[in-house]
This record gives sequence, C-alpha cells and structure tokens, in this order.
Amino acid sequence: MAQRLGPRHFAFDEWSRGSSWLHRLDPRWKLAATLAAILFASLRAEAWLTAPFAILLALSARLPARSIAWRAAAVLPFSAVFALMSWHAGDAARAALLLWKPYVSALWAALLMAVTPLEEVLAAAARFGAPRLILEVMHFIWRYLGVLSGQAWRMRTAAAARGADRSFEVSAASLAVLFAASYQRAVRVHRAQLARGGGGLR
Amino acid sequence: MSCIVHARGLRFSYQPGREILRGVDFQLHRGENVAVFGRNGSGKTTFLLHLNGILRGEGHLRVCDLPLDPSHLQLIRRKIGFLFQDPEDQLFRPTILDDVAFGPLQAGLSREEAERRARRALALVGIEQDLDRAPYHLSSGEKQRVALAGILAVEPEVLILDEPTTHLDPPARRALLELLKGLPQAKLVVTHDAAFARALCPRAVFFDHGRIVADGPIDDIIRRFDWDLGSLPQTSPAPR
Amino acid sequence: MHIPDGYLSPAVSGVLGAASLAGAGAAARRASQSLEESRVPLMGMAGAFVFAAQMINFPVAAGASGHLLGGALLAIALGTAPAVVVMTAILAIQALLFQDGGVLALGANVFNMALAGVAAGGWAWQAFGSLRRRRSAAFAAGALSAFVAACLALAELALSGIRIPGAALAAALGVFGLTALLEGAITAAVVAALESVQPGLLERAHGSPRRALSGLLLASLVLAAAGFLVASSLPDGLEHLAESIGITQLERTVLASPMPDYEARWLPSAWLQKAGAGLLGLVVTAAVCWAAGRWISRWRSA
Repeated sequence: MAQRLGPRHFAFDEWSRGSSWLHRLDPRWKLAATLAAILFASLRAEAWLTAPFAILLALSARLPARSIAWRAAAVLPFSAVFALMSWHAGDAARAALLLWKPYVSALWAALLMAVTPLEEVLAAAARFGAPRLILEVMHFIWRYLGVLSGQAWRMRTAAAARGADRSFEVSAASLAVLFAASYQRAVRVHRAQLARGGGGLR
Repeated sequence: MSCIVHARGLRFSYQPGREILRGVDFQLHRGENVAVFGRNGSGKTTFLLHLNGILRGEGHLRVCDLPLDPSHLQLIRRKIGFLFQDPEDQLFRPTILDDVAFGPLQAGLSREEAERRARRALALVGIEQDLDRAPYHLSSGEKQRVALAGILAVEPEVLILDEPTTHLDPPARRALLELLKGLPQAKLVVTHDAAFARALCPRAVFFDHGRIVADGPIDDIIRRFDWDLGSLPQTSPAPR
Repeated sequence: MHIPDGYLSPAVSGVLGAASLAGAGAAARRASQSLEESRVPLMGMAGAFVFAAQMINFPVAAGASGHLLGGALLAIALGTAPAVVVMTAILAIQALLFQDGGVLALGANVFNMALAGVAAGGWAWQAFGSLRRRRSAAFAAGALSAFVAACLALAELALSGIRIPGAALAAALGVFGLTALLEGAITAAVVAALESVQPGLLERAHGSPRRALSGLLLASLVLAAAGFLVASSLPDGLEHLAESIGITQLERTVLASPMPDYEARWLPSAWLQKAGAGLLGLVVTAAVCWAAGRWISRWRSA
C-alpha cells in the first residue's frame, strides 16, 4: 500500500509512551497476550467478542480508542473484495468471517503497538528467540522511515514543480538518487556510531 | 601547554590515484578553539575523521598522546567528541535520554550512572523536558543540542564540529555560539560561517587540495583568502 | 499482495510459518556471519528506502501508476541473504505498524515475498547478471520476484478455501502479469540509473552464487505456482498423480480440519479439493527443497 507518510503514521510513537497500567505491564506479557488473542480470532468464531474487549482496554489505557479502531479498519477495503466474492457465491458465513477476522486481528495488533513502544516489543521478541539481526533492522527502518520518506516526498514535489512527474525515467532517476543518498546516510550513521564507541571496532 | 593533537605528513586516499590528503601538518593544544576553513572537497572533513580513527591514513598522528591503533580507539573516541553535520545521522536511539546515555553505556557505566550523566549533559545544553520522547520531532537546533549532549556526556577533551550552523536559524546559531563559548574543551570547527568562526575562534587553518596552507590569527586568514561576504559593498538601489 | 489474518487455513499457515521461520532464521544467520557491523545501518536504511520509494509514482498508462515493490532490487543491491532479512523486517513493520498484512499471516507473507520473491529475484540476477545484459537481468529479477510472490499468495488463498470465481481468477493473473512487468521495468530502470549516479555501488553485493540450489528452489516454487494453474484446468490428471503418490490420504487427514469455521464449507467442489491437495504437496516439496538446500550448503561449507 503506497501512501504518503505523515505524522499520523507515527501516532504509535506518541500513544505508546503513556503511563497507564497497560503501558507499564511487562512487554513480554503484552506480546504473548496479543498473539494469543490473534490466534484465538483465527480459530474460533466467538472471538469477535474480543473486539469490544480490546476497545475497553484501549479506553482504560487512556488512549484514543476511536483512532485505534479506525486504524485497524485499514484492512477492510481489501477484505471487502473477497467477502463480496464469497457472498456472491452464496457463502454468506464465509463472507462475514473474511470481514471480522482480519479486523479483530488488526485491532489487537494496533492495541499492542499503542501501549508498547516498538523497541520494547522488539526486545520482548528477542527474549522469545526471534533473530536479533531482523529486530535490529526493524528498529533502524522505523527510525529512518520518516527521514527518507520526507526526502522522497520533496523529490516528488520538486519533479512536479518542473512538470516532470509523469515520466518513467525521472521517477527511476529519483529512486536511484534516493538510494544513493540512503547509502551515504547509512555510512554517516555508522560513522556516528563508531565515533561514540558503538558499532563494533574497526 | 600539552599537545592534544599532533599530525605530521598525514596522507590519505579513498582509492589509489586519488589522494585526498597530501601531507597535513597540524597541532592542537588543550583548550584551543580553531576554525577550519577551505573549499568543499579540500579535505577538511577527511582530515578530521582521522582524529578518531574512523579513517586511517599514513604519516604521523597522535591524539591525546596516544597512537591510533585498535587498542586505544575506544578511549580516543571518548576523548574526541565528533558532532556530525546532520544531527539526523547521530540520533538513532528511540528516546532523547536513551540517545544521550548511549555513549556512557558504551563506556561501561551502569544504567543509573549513564542516565545521571545524560541528564547532566542535557541540562548543560538546555534540554530538560520530555526526555522520554523520540528526538525526531524536535527542531534542527534542538536535535543538534541533543547530539551535542550525547557527546558531552562522556566528558571529551576535544570537540570537533562539522559545519554546525548549516541548519540553524539566527537565534539558534547565537544560542549555539553562547553554549560553545562556555565549554572548556578544545574545539575544531569546520565552517563556512565566517562570522560564527570569528566570534568563537582566535585561530584558523586553511585547507587547500589536501594540505593546510595557512595557519594563524583568524582575521588574517579570512582577509587573506577573502572568506567573508562582509567586505562587499551594500546592495545599491535598482537602476531606474 | 499482503495476506491479512483470517484468510488462510491452519494447515497452510502452519506449513508456511514453519518454512518461513526456518528460512528467515537461516538468512539472518548467514547475513550475520558475512556482514561487517556497518551493514546493519545499511540494511536498515535499505528497508526505509523501500518504504520511501513507494511514494515515487511510475506512470503506466492513462493516469494509472505503480510503485516499486522492492524484493528484487534489495537482492541485487545487498545480496540474497541480507535482502531476505530486510524484506522480513519490512513485512513485520508493515503488519505491526501499518496494519498491512496479518500478524499470523506473516508466515505466509514472509514466505511469498521475503523468501520466494527475493530468492527468485536474486537467482535471476545471479544467473543473468554476469553477462553484459545487466538491464535485462534486472528486469527478469523484478518481474520474476513479483510474479512468483503474487501467484503463491493466490494459490494459498485458493487452497484455504477462499472463493475466487473463474473471472476474478483470470483478472487476478492478468494483474499479476502486469505488476510483474512493471516491477521488472522499474527495477531495470533503477539499476541502470544507479550505475550512472554511483557506479560501483552494486558491485559489492554479490555473495557466492549457489546457482544449482537456488535454481532448484526456484524450480520448485515456480512448480508450486504453476501447479495451481494446472490444477484448475486439469483436475483429472492431478487426481491420478495424487493417487499415485499417496497424497489422497494426506488430503483426507490434513484438509479435514477440526476447526468449526473451516469444516463443511471447505472446498466444496471436488476438483478444487484435488487441486488443493496437489498444491499442498508441491508447497511442502518446495519447503523441503529449501530446507535441504540450506542444510546441504551448510554441510558443504563446514
């Protein structure tokens, strides 16, 4: 899904730094509970009841429950297509499943990320045995997502201002420049890490 | 006065045949503030990256009376605080406090002590609120101050600043100047901002094609290389 | 295509999840061994780049435009194992923070895009990229990676009992074909542009090309994807095949799920049932080939 990255995408950073009881719970419990809830939703039809429960939890954590519920609704357009096909084929029950299951799963995932900062989720995943390299890369991606997206957006605007945004070649050149800039930035970040004593001695 | 940086005949090339540094001679003494001038590509930043061992060239180089070999690098990198041009490249931890505490933690301090040092450094640069928030939403000037705090937290002896005023508006520039003037460390400031340099550094060196070709009082250097716009006449009114 | 939660059956999810865990874990180990520390920022930045790159539009025709998917470009720029790691990280971020793709479905999405897609792209680049025709190699890498990933996703959905009427199926395959062509074109154009912007940037990426094994993997995956297409048009042939290799037994035990949501309405038509069985067998074969390939190469290099 290509979309312009704006401040709303980083709302989780804000939300997850609250101080409610839910925020202060051990991240490992939260991660495990979320996975259990999602697994439950995939296996049993009664799991749709967990959705209002998730909303209640969000409210008790003093979070904007409506925004979170809306976030989770991002899965609905895609689901609607398949649900429609099932319904059209006479399988109304399946159509309903295809609508609420993805939603409940997305709701629980959104709740988790709204009460737990990403690095704590990653640390919990590391304790559960996830490969460290993947988690480190995830941390970096999230950190520099906004920076690089800002750069990409400015390039796109600059190209449009010159009337060149409808050209395949210009877009390819923009990506190449963005990639080269990203590479240089990675070199600088690594040097900054070295300069502060991290990143492994070379 | 003890000598903190001593370079003689420093040479470096990224690729064979393309020498960036062609024999740099330089000395820096404790507590000195020195401006580093030169055109883009003349080797200023490349030279400075040798001082904390990120780049390794040939020739003589001692920093804080230590050679630049792997066994001393960790210590040298605490003594030399390097502030990179874009603070975005330096702040990579999730919260402000976390980022500033990174250096002390790497130095082996406990979590509590590292955080204590971090808070002290942040207070020094004037950032005392919202330490648990991500640094990404701060202004350029604030980000730079957080990055500077991260360096000050390990108590360096030399501060290297690579074009520190590039992203700053005039009030932020003035604030940085006041902040730096109050710090006792020796400073090497790469900058094109002659006014800023003049206000902070009595001495300047001028890089040209990989060598230092001039070293002396800053006003002399600026005048000699015409490095300041201040000497141009005022804009005249448009002709009728 | 990011599959949300609640679409795939437990059997399909389980098999793919296991294969993904093994594959991504192996890639992470391999990448960690051969990487200098400086590669972690580079990999992270490459991942952030893929996100950012999605905002640059590539005009296709009459107002429509597409964007880079990235699996092949990552494989070309970083090498296959690091690309698998980065793609996995991207998918995980998308699932958790963008609600794009399910959390449990990560197993399937990682298999389709981070393993199969990247392997396909990496294989094409290594197989053809050493010749002077780098642009064509990049095109093949992009097209193959997108097509394989999409077909696998569709196959998994069909196998899980999602109803896809014939017309929609044909339309989906058409869209996949176009997406593949576009991804190939974008990848080729970016590789060409990169070589002029910063020549030598892509040279460092090549690890040791295990062509034979990668080719085996690719063959089995293409087989899996093709299997679905074949199954939908030759039900009888597949039934014979299924009987002769004993898969019909498997079909009865594995596909008769005890889960109430999936019983009775499961794969109502007989031919789809057989096709599903055949496909499951092929996917299992592919996973076994992958695991075997990893084992063999590790044993060889030990």
